[in-house]
Amino acid sequence: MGASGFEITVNTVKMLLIFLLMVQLVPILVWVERRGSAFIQNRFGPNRVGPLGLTQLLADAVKFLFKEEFRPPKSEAFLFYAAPVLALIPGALAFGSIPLSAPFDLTWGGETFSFLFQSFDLGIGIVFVLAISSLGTYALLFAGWGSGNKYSMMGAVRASAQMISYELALGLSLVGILLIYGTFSFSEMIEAQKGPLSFMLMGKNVEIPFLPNWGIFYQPLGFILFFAATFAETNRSPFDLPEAEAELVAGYHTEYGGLKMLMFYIGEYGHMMVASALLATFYFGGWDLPFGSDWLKEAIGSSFLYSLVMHLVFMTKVLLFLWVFVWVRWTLPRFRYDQLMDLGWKTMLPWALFNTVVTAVVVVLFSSVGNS
Amino acid sequence: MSEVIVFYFFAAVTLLSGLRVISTSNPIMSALYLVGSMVGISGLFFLLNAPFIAAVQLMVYAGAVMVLFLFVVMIFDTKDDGKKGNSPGPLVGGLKALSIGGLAGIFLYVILFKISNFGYLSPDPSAPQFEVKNMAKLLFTDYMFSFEVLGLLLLVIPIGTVALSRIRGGTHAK
Amino acid sequence: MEAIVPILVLTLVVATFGTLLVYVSSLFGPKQHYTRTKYLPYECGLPGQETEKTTISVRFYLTAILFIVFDIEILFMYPWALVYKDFIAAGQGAYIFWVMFVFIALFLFGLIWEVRSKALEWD
Repeated sequence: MGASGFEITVNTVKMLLIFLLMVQLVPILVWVERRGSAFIQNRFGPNRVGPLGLTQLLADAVKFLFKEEFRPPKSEAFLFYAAPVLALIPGALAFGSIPLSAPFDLTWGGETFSFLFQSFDLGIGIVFVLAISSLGTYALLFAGWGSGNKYSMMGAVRASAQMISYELALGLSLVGILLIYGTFSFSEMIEAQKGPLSFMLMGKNVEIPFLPNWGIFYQPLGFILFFAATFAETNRSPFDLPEAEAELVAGYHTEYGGLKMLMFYIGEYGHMMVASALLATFYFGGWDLPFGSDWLKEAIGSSFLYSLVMHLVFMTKVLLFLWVFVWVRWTLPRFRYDQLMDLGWKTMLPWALFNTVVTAVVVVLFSSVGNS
Repeated sequence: MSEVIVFYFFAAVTLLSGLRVISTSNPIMSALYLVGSMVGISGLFFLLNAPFIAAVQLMVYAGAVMVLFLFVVMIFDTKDDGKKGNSPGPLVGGLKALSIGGLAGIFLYVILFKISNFGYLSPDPSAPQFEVKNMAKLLFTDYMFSFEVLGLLLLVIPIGTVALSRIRGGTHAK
Repeated sequence: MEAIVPILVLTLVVATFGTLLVYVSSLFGPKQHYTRTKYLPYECGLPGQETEKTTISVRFYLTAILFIVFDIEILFMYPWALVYKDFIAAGQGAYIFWVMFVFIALFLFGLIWEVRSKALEWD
């Protein structure tokens, strides 16, 4: 975390702020979801509490705070209480390892320190996020088993089976991106996506000036697969069978009430934010503004302000994807469980393999022709 | 300095979780302590400058194998044994005490007399910071045959599972 | 690795935050009144239909085992993707491609075999 006291302080403050950013985005997301779903369904959403209904979730949180503290007596106390806390941890850790903006410098006492706009930087960016996401199944299993209710248990087992099936498709669709960029680190991937679209074709360096060098132009199929897989990973419609009301009541969080239930939702929205941030980083250039970042960097002198402006660019992309999440939820009907598992194993895995092989072939052909 | 503290933290987590696996009577808590042990080992890999292996340990062991174990324990709905059980006779009790004592004695002997450099072993400073590329290059050149055989082994596992579990007729499905 | 300390600190912060939320919510609010209906596990309001034996299909178990196997195979592709361009630059592009192609062929064969043996069918 740095050697001198100043570095440690700034890093700690930065880590806390990023975590709070994630937590504070949740009320905004819920508001977007409720108003957006209302708009799609041709009705008003919450518009009485506060201006435009913005403080609705604050009122809801206060209401949740005063709910009765209930623990079903046949349940296992430690697991029951640990599950909501465990639901927060993977999302927060994964969100902390994604660069949210450009690195910046701060001077203190004559020395200039360089800081990254992320809680911590690991050389193995992607793999860490996947590893932490795979620990997310434990929150579901704890909640299901800890409730002492057989319907919760069944819901939890179904939900975790769904999650692990789509983790395969998720991991495999990322191999294409890795083949192209040759690095695990997010910052290097964002660096490689700067500038206009350029690649080697038949020995010549082709450059298309009006398109940015984003990952989506290199991996369109990978984008579609990754996009669909993250829907299933976050238990989000149309894959939200474990939470569907007609099915198993509320699935694995049936027996939860009050603030513990809210923590599951924070965890779910946290995962959504991580998924949107990953989509923005891999396929849409991260915090980089396509044709403006260079002159912006010179126009804004201080690297700190530049960092903040680029953060706004990143958050715009992330919010765009979050809106797409909400939009898809209220547009598509839900999948049946066997359709869901069939889609994961029989459709997405083979297509992801196909994507990998084709990408590998293309990289070999284009690079070797160019190099020889 | 901070690395030493973190090392002892992870080592303690691993060892204590491992101990609690066998000393707790609730099978679900036993599985969960095993998960804790895996996470501790992953942290130790991190400290040895092997972050990729640490993440793979988390993803495969803590994220897949232990989920499988938990499925099994939860599905079969095994109950807490409690502390009751058959009290061992003198012969069995004596064998237990002898084996545990013998094992502890071996550990103590090795620690006290055989390890000369007793302390936190820092990773080799001349080793590269990021080991994945070197490992990959070795894997696909020197150990390529082992790699392909591993693929074959991973093919045999699903076939064996289906044959053993006989889902929908097992390997002789219509 | 010096990134481990922020990770541990962040985990501690998040766990503390979560625990505080759970604890604070238990302080406010009415205390639990133990009525008999609240005791029963929730079953859409119908009383006492829960039997002790709950059977969960063995297909979940099979899904978990297949997940382990395919997860390991996918994890082998990650270092491969990392050094792919290095091999190409050293002139060994075709070699590295065919090495993994054999592996992917085994993967695909396993997957197709699973699908055709109807082990992944959910009824």
